[in-house]
Amino acid sequence: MRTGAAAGHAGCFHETAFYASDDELVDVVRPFVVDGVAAGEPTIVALHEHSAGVLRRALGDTAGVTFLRGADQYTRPASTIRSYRSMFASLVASGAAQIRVLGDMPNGSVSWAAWARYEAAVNHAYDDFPVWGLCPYDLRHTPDDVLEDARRTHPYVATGAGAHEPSTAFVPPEKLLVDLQAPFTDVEQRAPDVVLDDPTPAEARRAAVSVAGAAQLPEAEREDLELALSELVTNARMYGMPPRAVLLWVGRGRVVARVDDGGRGPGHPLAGLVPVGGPGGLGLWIVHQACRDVRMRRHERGFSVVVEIGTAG
Amino acid sequence: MDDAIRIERRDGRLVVAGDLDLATVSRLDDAIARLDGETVLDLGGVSFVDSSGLHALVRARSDRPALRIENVAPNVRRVFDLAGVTGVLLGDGTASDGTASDGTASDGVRREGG
Repeated sequence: MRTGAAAGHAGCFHETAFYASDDELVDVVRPFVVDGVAAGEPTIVALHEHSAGVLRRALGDTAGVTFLRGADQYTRPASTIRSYRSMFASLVASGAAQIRVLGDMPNGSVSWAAWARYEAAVNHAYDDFPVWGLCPYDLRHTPDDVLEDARRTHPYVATGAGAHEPSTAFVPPEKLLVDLQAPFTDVEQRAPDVVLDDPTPAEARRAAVSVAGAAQLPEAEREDLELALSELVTNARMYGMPPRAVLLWVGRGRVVARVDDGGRGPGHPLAGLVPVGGPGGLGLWIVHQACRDVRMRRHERGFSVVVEIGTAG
Repeated sequence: MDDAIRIERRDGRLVVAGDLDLATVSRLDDAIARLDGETVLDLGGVSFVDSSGLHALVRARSDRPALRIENVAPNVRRVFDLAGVTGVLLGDGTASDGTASDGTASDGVRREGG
């Protein structure tokens, strides 16, 4: 039996909450955690450091609560999904009737566009588990467009008064994931350092090795770049349309790469976020595992994927 | 490029060298289809593998469970880990590890420092 607001719900119950002070955060998250522990449900907290500290102090006794470092749990969306699905599968196998997860999205190096896709994808990616996910957003520090995406990606909203209401702004993920197109980045406004016109995967890999050398990337990052470019060019040739091109921007310790083709991009809404995402899905998923930021964009001239390797700056 | 991969039969082993990608993977498929008693797929000379190569290797292991994969270079092993197919390919006892048809990748392998 699932307890609380998600009682009787099948699959993932995905909820957001908004707060403007530490007290308001406590009001909405403490009952979520306390009730979960009281019901014997696995209760996982993956908040960033400040919020986790606020919650620990409010709880006093944290027995029965599993704290994960938010900074570790939310590194790359595809890796987060993989890690949570693995955890949920083993908890359900151990008899969990419901799993409570309290997590907040990072404002770190990965672009918000990628986490917005994650928040939308959660509704499908965890739907074969009895998960109640609560994702609080801080009204003081969160940009308006991010708050709007939070309202669009969560079917439910929790309030400090104990209510759990349907979000009137919710958009079904299969529609939203198509609408969520990553904006152009500052780097892309500059002329690229290297342009390859319709390269083979092998040619793209040789270019990757060359620019990785120029950017002085460590060996592991050079391998990530080789792999990512190879997979993206393979997909563009297998499933995309001409004209196909690879554009590379090279900085010290950092490479931004874009693969363009004239097609429409993957049709599967979860493409890249889970290993099965239609044709080319495994390759795109590998790219999402290998690169700390992956931005996909459908536009009037076709489809682009932008990946970033190395540290920003 | 036709010389991007070399496959030889040697002492009961199928010895592969070069890059295993979309352009070369059919050569590996053909060689595996014509196995003549070889029980080891020696990847010692393989310097790169992509998702097409992974698909071929997973297929080979599932069609021919007696075929062992050996001599995997560290960077190729990293791709196995990244894709969650190390257990399936190297048979090290984590058979549930992998990209199952339901999208479950059970090992949660993640790399830091990227």
